[in-house]
Amino acid sequence: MAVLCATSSGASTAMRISTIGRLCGQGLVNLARNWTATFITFTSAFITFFMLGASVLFVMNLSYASQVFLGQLEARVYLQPDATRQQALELAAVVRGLPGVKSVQLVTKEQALAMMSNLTGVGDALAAGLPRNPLPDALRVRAERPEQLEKLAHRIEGLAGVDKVDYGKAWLDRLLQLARTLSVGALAVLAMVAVGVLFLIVNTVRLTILARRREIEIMQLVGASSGYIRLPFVFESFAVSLAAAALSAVALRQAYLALATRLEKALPVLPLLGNGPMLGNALLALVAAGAFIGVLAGLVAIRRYLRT
Amino acid sequence: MIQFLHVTKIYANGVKALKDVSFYVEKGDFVFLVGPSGAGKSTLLNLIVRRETPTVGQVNVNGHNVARLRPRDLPALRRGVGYIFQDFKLLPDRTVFENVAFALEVLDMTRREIHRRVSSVLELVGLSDRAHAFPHELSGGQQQRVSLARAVVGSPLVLLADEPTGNLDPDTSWEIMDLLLEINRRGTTILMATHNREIVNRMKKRVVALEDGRIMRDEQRGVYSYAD
Ligand SMILES: Nc1ncnc2c1ncn2[C@@H]1O[C@H](COP(=O)(O)OP(=O)(O)OP(=O)(O)O)[C@@H](O)[C@H]1O
Ligand SMILES: [Mg+2]
Repeated sequence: MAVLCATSSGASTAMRISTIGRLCGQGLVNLARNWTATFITFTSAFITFFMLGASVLFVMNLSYASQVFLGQLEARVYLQPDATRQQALELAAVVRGLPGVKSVQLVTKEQALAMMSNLTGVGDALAAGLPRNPLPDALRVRAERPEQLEKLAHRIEGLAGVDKVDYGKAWLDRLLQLARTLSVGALAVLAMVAVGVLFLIVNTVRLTILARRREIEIMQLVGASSGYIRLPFVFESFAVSLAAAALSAVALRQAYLALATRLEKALPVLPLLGNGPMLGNALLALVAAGAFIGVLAGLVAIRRYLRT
Repeated sequence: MIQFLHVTKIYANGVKALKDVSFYVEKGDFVFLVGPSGAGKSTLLNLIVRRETPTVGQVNVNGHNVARLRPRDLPALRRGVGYIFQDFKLLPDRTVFENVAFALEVLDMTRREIHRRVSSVLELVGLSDRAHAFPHELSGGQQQRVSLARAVVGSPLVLLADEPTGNLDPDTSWEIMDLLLEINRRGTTILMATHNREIVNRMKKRVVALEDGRIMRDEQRGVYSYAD
């Protein structure tokens, strides 16, 4: 609806590309004019995005490591002591057929005893001293997804010929709990850090807005749309934030890979994410977050000055 | 075109700038707004473009209640209403040309179209040769003419002029009045606040006289007649 339509053009809200380009250029000019504020903001945003990215990588590695550890978990199914070898093999076949089972391995009582004597070192003496092998046949069962292990164990417990199932419940629960707490903690810190960056950038943009308040007022009085007035400022904060995020992504990648190489040498058992698509995606997400935070900061900064 | 219905304006500091003001301006009218300093002339003009909103009553422009406009419709109103400000409101770091072009840039016009229009309006106000001067390099009267050029460059339907001859010598004042008359002849509705007795008396246009926030007179071919 046109309230008053004096000029033929300008009735639509869409802007020509050249106008958008000019307004974005104005945003860059703002940054150059306030270069000290720009520099301080850029540096702080860089450091914060670096920390942000580092926390993301930490959480990712944590979840990767817990996946790896959990993947190594298995349930041990002990058959009743009087079960025959034939029954053990049959049970193994049944378990293998259950949904969610990744692998089933039969550990015969002889193997178990051999392993035990190797482990304890008392070995043959112990074996010889026993009237008969006290250990039952057992199955080592792995689940496709570690979280399913508990359910699977309960299910197997109900099968005929099974004496008891041991799946390291306490340990599993503790590990899952730890992983969850650490992730939640890291994410909470992350969120606060992100809000911090946001306000930092808001303040910088506010500086240029203050410097150009008169211009904004006149723009409003001659009928500039709010999109037109906003664009330079939003682009300004977008540019700073994106640049800081992109540079921090590059720096983070170098730092992370260097650290990962060292850790791998020092602690080979520790599973770490390598230089794969996961790392690449995480860094891209960091850059995208930088762009998003930049746009948001610009909108927040200008909001108050657009009220009429 | 412009309608005030029982408008009262009380500023935040408690000043009652307008008291129960009602009047109607027809499309194409030329109206003088006279009255002593502080009578409420600028306040009245500011209500038309929603620089201020009425405390009581209603201001309609082209049938729309200005206070009720959605924020995104406000630019359309302001594009249709040119405003020559009492304090010019020029941007100090932009040249004359850029100051005038500013009003068209926000309308998203092409460079060429902007150049054509700005050049011709600067010609009209007689400032072609100062196009690249900055406001601080101009006299008060020249700055006033830049403000006029910016107000009319977008061909508004309504022109609000707050003391457009306030800083001008008599000859230049009459040039400005000729210009405003010409713009009015082309169909632009004009509301002009002024203290210039001679101009009001000679022009024989409608005069709305404000005093202490009230309309004291509203005459079709009026004169400027209160004791200054
Ligand atoms: N923004 C404001 N806040 C508070 N009071 C204001 C404001 N603007 C104007 N006033 C007061 O409102 C009254 C009317 O002011 P206004 O500017 O409308 O007068 P005017 O008729 O334009 O005067 P002049 O001829 O001197 O320009 C004055 O008493 C003034 O002090
Ligand atoms: Mg005034």
